[in-house]
Amino acid sequence: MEGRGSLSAGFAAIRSGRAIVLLLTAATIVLSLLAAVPLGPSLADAFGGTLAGDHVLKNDPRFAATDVVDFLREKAPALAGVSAAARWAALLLLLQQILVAGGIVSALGRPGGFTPLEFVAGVRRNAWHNSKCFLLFLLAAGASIGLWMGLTRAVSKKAFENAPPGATPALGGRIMTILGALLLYAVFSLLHDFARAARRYDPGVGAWRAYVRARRILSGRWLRALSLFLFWLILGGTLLFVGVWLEWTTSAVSAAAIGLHILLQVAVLAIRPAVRVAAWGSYLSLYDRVEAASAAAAASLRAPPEPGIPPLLTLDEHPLV
Amino acid sequence: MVFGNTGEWPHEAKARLVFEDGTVVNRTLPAEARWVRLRIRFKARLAWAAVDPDRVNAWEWNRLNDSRVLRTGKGAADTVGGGAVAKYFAKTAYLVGLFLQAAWALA
Repeated sequence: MEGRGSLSAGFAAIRSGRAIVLLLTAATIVLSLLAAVPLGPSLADAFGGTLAGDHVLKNDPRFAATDVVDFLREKAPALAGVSAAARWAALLLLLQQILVAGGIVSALGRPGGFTPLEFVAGVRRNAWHNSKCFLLFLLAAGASIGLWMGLTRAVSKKAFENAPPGATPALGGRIMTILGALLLYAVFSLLHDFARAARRYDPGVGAWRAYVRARRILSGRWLRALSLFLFWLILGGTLLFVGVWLEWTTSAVSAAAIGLHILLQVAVLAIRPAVRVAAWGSYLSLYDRVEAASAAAAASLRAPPEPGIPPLLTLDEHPLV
Repeated sequence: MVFGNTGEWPHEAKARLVFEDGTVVNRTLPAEARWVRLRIRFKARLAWAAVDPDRVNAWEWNRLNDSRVLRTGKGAADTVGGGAVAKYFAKTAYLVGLFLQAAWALA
């Protein structure tokens, strides 16, 4: 029941957090365009002023493939420029994710919604905390997954030394290694998200204590949290696969079709932000329920005995229950 | 329109000129010429010109410099190279965007 509540909270978060989805999508698009800029003059030179653009756009069965190969070879420096710019843009977007998570944690899923100022205040308040949480996540997850991969590789090398290439047990071992790494990633990712969410209730909590708190919140609820993680991973992965496949297989030759094609690309780029915000909504809902239950339990422990019920004078009296 | 052989190998080649109304004119460029200037007076303006338009020369290693598109028109002159620039610039940005979002797995 709690899981279903968290799931519906995730879908509700997409509605209430539309502005965050738009912000994340817009940031991706702006950084992507900036990273792609070095290729612009080369594209204009190779495709705008020659017949190659016509061949490629119309997918000419005789000439398109060689034109693409010529473009990749002749304009390799520009492609290298895009590749380098994309790596820097990825770093910037990572930093942006760390910052935006602060705003999400403090604003998303609050009853009555949130204002942009509340979101920005959350970003500012949690920026340093989220940076420390990110470093801890990177170290812990990197070390654990690295250790797991190294150990399983050593064991499988020993165990399948004499197995023929492509043998089923060796393949099974590889699949187990990948699944184990995914499980470790899921565990550390959840701890990371819940450590950042700890600031929702305790704005002064440090990174270490936030991780301890996250472990306490997730204790006894790992299955539920991992199910939520898996649900959003599979849903997001499926939507993204369908979107990428649609974009790749749809042809666009006329100006109107190219415009629609670009809109489709924007829609595909909006999938990841929407699913990320939905996952945050689910996690925060789960966090809120646990905190509410803990607060209620603490309040009932502190509450004085109810007045008005007289003590039993003899055992012959019937209790008032 | 000037056609030039920028390589070291003297060889004959076909040249094709296409006008805005779709008219196609084919000429042969002599093997010994380093460059050839073709002057054609015609009712429609030149849309594009290309050397070896059917790509029969298997030794050619860069096809990106064997044609020039000046404008579009009807029939054979109906080219869409400008659209290709917009489409593939957007495609590049889109692929970069997918790469950037893959990096989100860390945060």
